[in-house]
Amino acid sequence: MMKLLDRWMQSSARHLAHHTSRRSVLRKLGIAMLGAATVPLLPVARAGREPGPDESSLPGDLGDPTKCEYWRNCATDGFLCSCCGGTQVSCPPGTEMSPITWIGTCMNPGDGREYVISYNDCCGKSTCNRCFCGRDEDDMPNYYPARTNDIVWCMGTTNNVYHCTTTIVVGVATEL
Amino acid sequence: MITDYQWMVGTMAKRNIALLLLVVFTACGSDDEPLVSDSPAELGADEHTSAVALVEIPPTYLDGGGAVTAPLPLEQVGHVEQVPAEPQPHWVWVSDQNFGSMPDGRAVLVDGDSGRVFGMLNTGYAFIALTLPSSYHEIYSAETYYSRTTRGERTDVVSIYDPVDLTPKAEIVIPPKRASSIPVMDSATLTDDGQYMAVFNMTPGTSLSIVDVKTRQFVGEIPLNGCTMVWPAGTRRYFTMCSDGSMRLITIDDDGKLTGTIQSRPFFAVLEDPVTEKPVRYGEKWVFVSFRGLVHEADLSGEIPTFADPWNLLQDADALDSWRPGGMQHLAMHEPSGRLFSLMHEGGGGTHQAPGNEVWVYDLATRERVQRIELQEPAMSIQVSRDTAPLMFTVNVTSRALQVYDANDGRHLRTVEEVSLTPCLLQLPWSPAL
Repeated sequence: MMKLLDRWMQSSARHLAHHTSRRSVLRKLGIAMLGAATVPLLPVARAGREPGPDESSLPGDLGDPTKCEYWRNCATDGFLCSCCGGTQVSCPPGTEMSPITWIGTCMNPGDGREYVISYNDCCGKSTCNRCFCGRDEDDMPNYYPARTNDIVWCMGTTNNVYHCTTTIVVGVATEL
Repeated sequence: MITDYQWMVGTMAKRNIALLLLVVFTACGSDDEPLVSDSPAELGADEHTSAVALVEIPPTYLDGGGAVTAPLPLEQVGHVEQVPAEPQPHWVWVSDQNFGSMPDGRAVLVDGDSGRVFGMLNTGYAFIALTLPSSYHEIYSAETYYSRTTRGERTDVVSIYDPVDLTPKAEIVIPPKRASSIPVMDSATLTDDGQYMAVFNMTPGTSLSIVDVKTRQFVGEIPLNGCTMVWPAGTRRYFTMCSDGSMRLITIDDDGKLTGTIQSRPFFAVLEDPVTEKPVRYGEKWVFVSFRGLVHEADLSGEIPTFADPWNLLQDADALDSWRPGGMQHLAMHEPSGRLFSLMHEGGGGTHQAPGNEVWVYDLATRERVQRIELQEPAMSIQVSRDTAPLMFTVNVTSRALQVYDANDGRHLRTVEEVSLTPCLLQLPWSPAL
């Protein structure tokens, strides 16, 4: 049942992201969130299986994924998995990626597009403690969980011990 | 390494080892910076030394100059200190999630007058804050543990500590759902009479675990249906915050069971200018501040919350200079004088968690700024003691120091170095009820 719900949420979030603007995406998700948190219906993104993202099609210098200034990190608040044995889109060995998380929207300097980023935490080992990155663009207080980076998002995993955070592209936000 | 140690033990006489240790300790002691440094105006603060005399003084010896001196008395092995039984107004608990190793959270008790560290508590994984009753006869703490530190079975408990010997005296197992987050003062609270503790859960479904701390029993769980966090609002009442900008009052009966909820109207613009989830209490009012400095005062004295017209911490010139409130615990209230203390920085949008380099002080009655205090170092958390000669405390997770100021004139009094590893929140054990 939960997998079906997850799949539905993923599909819905991507549809929204593809067809609406940044603020509109967030506003609609926020409205959808109201009163709905007794079951895990937060924006859900499944982890990519690739060892690392292929950004070679994008022009220009995209920056260093081990640095906080890297474009996907615009709303990161944690340790970068790229520095911990993982990549922007994968967890370090022996950890487990949380299927439940929050999303932000970051502009890619290569193509100028706004991308919806899913900040999935990697869980099951103690804090990686490398490359801490605290950027709070569009971060909201904890009473608005879908846009909060202050919550330990190790939920739906074997345990909730936080290790590091990935930054996975799950959609493109375009104007209608 | 083990082999080297065994070789050393096997080949060195005990006397030589003792000499070696003595040299090591002496060297360490001579190189250390002072752990408490008073600002110049405060030199001469109390010293705290103690020793236990046990035996008759042995025969006297001549020192290098020929004078007769007595050797130090022999001392007892095994003595363990205790915290003085009566908490003082200038004591402060520093809670530490220990971001470098989150399974090892802790809280440290410090005397702000002397800078003395009394001791610490170990508080488990993703620790947020202690829950202190106004009577301070016990210390409560919502905690999470794994049987193998980072794996194995998860157990969530409310631990009960003795405030004098700082040992656990009881624990109450609660559902393993306690929310883990960056520390904020809204993860657990007591009813105003100190009997029922509510622990905020997030799985991500949200609820409260209710614990009767007097009978040491888990009473039950109250669903929050999407609202989050918890603050006290009376002897049998809490409030939570909801994502439409409203608050929900949760009323329980004398058995700790839910009897009803009341939803307030939304009282701020969630997407345009959200309030932080870091309000401070002023009697039966709660003072919220938004990202852009708008002050929303909620009055919970009645059955239904009422809200005063908002006002702004920032004057036009401040806003032009991009001054903003911000931090982890960015507000403090000094109730005896009605003054609100706010950590401030220049940064503009998206900096609501940035440390402040100044504290702006407001008279809540007149809504006027009455003081600006430049800080010794940037701070993410602030607290002001509850007495009439108050101290102001600040910490920053990127510094290991506790800074102590005179809250009346803003004068920096002292720095307590190495107070913890990543100090997060500040709490006061003393209240006027004591």
